[in-house]
Amino acid sequence: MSKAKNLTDMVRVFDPVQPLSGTELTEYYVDRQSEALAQMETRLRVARKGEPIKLLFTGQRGCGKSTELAKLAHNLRRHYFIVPFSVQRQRWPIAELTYSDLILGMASALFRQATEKHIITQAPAQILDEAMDDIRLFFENTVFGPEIPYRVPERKLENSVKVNALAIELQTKFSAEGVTRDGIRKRLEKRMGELIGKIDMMADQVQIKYKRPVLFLVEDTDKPDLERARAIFLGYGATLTAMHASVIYTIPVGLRYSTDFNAIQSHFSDSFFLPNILLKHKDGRRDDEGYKQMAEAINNRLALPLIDAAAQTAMLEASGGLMRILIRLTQRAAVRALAQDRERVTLADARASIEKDRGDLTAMLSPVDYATLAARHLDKRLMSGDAATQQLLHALALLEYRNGDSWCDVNPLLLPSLQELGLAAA
Amino acid sequence: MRLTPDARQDLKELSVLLRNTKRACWAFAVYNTSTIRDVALKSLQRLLKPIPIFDFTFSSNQRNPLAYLDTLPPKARERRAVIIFFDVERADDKVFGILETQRETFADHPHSLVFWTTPVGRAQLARKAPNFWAQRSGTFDFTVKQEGEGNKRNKGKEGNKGKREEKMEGKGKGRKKKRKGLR
Repeated sequence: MSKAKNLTDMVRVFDPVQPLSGTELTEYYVDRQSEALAQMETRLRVARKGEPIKLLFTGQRGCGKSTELAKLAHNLRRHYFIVPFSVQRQRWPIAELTYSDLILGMASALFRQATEKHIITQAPAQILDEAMDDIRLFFENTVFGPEIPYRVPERKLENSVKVNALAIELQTKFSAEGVTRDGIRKRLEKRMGELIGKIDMMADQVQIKYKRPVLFLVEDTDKPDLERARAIFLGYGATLTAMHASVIYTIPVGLRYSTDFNAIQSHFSDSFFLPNILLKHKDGRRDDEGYKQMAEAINNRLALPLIDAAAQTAMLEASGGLMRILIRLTQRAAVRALAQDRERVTLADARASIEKDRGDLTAMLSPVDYATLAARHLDKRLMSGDAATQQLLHALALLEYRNGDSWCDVNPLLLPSLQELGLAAA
Repeated sequence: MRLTPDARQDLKELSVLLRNTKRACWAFAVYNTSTIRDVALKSLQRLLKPIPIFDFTFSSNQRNPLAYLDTLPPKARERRAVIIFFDVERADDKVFGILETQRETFADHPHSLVFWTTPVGRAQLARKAPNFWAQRSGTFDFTVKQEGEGNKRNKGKEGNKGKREEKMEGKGKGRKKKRKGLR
């Protein structure tokens, strides 16, 4: 999608649904000087030969995790054979996600990607054939077995093509059929070590051929509820990190504050948090660099100056440094301007857009929440043991920042409400 | 009953959004009387012409929002269309779970989704499907101040709630007949 030349384009270009990918990533991406991205990249680049790196990655909803991971994959594409696995993109049910689903998902993504036609045709067939036959047999005898019906690949096909077909069959059946899911989980329960062995075998083949180790990027593992995520990462951290390949898992931000986090983290090489972009310091001073980065997110999408300066500033301030809020505010302001037959977004459009988002946020709050918000606005403490604060962080009524230490403040959308109630200084 | 100036403005904005997005998007239209909702829907239909509009109603038997895809004519599945969802707040948690966990599937189709919901439904959606909610393009307000609202509030929450639900129920029955026009 190219840059916006008019308001109609703006409505399309400012899209709160899709994370950046492909040409949009190149055109619209803002280098937010993220320590998390830089450190993850360094960690993965300087890893000793053969040393797999296992990382956890988290951040508040809409802060830009998916975009940062896409950028990381782009930056490391010559160092790693990158295998993305998104639970949602495969349409696997997150509500019933288990650790074995993740291992199976990563395995099928690797097997499928490593056997795509354009990749496999570059490899001498004999190098892979034995390994492929082994994986094919594992699919047929262990994953599906005699109980689960599946489409058997034609005999005359090469083993790599058969593996590719079986990986696609598995991904499709697992997303669509509850009975199949249960059956496969049961079958793999006691054979997880074997499955991990197959992942390692394929990763070795990839390494031999392409001189690049495998790096899994596992997305949407931050989406299950906290209890399920805890069960997966606390209960099976050792299994999730058992393969020889490197891997990055996203986790819910709430898990980072739980008392179990140290135990979870002990299985991983490191964990990284992507904070929201800092627009104001703890003491209220403006952060010009943060404003510049957020402004870039708008300007990179525009071919012409379609937003009045005051309107842009108002939306930047209201976003609180959360990328998705900024994108939505800008889209809605463009919608309003179009509806009023204007050719530019004015301050009135920006204010109306902000007011709508404020309404959505306040509709979720109860009277007692305001006391907690006022307290956090004053002390800026994250209060990791305080359920009320954690809930407000989850609801994005509080936003987390990091410059030196980690702290939080009230979402700027809510400040006028606090001020009206006399709970914050005007 | 006529739309308020603010509701007319929101209706216009909703139609501008739906006309100009090409990829998937979702929005929430908040209402508190079914009469106003039906007035707004009729106007929306006019404003969106010739974009096809389909509707889908949740119930205890229909709890899978993705089932809307099965109700579309085959050609419409991959073409731009507006899908209107009703009664999300009357379904159970399974609906919110599917909205939350199958966002990619909704995002994969070139359909604009509009969820007509009461203020209570809006809060439920935000709480129970927070990731889906976070990706909304916006909410559009069609609530009206109801006559005697202030007096009702003084009569106590429970009695008031019961009466309001009764009113919504009664009007909901009438709506089904009118909504056929949207297809």
